[in-house]
Amino acid sequence: MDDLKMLRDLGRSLEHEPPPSLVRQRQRLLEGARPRRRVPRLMRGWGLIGLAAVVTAAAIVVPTMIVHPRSEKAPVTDPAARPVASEELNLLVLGVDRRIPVSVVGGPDKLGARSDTMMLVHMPADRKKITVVSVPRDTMVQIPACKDAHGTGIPTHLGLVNSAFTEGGASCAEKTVESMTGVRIDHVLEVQFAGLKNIVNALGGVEITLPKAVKDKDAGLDMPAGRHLVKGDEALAYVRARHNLGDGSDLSRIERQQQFLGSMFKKAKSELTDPARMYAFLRESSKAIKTTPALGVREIAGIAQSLAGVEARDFDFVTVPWRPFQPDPNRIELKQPAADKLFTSLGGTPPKRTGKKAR
Amino acid sequence: MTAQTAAVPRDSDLIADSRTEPEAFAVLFDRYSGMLYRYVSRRVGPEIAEDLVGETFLVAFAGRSGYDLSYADARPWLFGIVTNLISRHRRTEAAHYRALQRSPIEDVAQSDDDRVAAGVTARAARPLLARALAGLAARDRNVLLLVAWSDLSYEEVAQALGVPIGTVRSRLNRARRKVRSVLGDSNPMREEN
Repeated sequence: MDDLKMLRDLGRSLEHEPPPSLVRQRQRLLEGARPRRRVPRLMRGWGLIGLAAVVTAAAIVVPTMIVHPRSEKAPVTDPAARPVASEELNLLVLGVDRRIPVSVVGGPDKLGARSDTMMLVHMPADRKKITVVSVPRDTMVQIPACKDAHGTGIPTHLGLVNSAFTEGGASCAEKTVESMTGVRIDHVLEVQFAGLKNIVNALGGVEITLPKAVKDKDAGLDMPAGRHLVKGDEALAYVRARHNLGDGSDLSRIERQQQFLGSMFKKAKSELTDPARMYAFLRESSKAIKTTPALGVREIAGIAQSLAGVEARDFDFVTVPWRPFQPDPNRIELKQPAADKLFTSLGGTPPKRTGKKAR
Repeated sequence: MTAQTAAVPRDSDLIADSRTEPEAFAVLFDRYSGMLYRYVSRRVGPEIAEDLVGETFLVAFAGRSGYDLSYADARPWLFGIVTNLISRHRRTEAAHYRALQRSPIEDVAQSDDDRVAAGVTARAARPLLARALAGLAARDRNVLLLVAWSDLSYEEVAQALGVPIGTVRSRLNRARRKVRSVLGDSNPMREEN
């Protein structure tokens, strides 16, 4: 008999399975890891704030940008002049589709990126209710003067709300929504759709409910009716698909996205009770999300802390009040005065609109 | 879902990340603590294995800034650390093997089934193997047991112990020679009588 084989047999017979108490050593590692840091770092902040806050904050996609935010070099205004945490906070979340590599965006082809989803997240100073306002991409709005990627000026014009991003990037989208709502936006979050699937995977999937079977070759969806745990490309397709789901409009898609976010929030709450999972989640999120102006470690910790008491039911998902746009029935425009009323409730001071609205 | 594989960070990524975000190191723990525990429990028994594994990760964490990130796989590094820590418990390890030498052959006399007989052979060899292991020089034993009880290649064993691969081979040969000489070419069954 081979001596190595005998040794291996002996080894197997001596082996013990790791006991559940091994987790204590993990705790020891995490505890040992913390005090060694000289500079307070993000995750330390998370640890102090407590899990609930972390999960909550993470789940609303808000501080998810985190860890290493991809900062944009030129913030729209001086970030120091802008309020953070424990004060009112307004975030503009853009779901972005990159059609060409990121490095080329801003290059010759300015049509490289498209924002398909636009949400204004409003957190009042007391953080009692978080309002998420979706703006349909087909909304016709006044786009203020912006600069394109080459620094060339784009004059004020009436256009599709999502064209602001395509033409002038995050800063132009921000300006457009600011002038439309009168709500001052503190940060713009660009969420890469492609990265979303990794975020969902880091959560171990997100549960969705389909009222009926869906088969959409374009989107790569083929699922029977009922509950599903979706991951990766499937999740992406679900969030992005427009056909064969709901009434096929952007509006039904918005509803679906909002439900998806709610479901993601719930999942995050149950899954991210573990620092390592939390870390994996943040890691993927930070890759997929770019903040402008970049959110710093302290700001994020502050936001997380301020959200400690927020539950899923404290979120209010709404779509901006709209009506068909007369010159083109395939487009929509803000419905007044309901839209302005909503913006005012969010602390905005909508611009005086004269004569025909939004024209 | 293919996208998932892309989302799995390599060990070296986690170590790099842990330099600024220490919690990343917990992912390494989740990956390898079980594997290290099994290895340690073989060598020194389960009583102190848990503590040793915990210590291994603390040492690794403290030394993470010195890790060569060109090695994507952290296992050799961790096995190297655990091997060093085990050597501090040489007496425990020796006692572990001594206990094995004394451990009685289970009573299987009532069965003459072949499978059981094979088991008896293996069991009967245990005291001899234990004696052989106890008699090896620590450095030879480290090589032999990493080769036999971990999934590391010779090259990775060399990396773990910080010695050239030729040294791994020569120590392995020496260790195996000694083990074989203790086992002898006699049938361990007969030796028991």
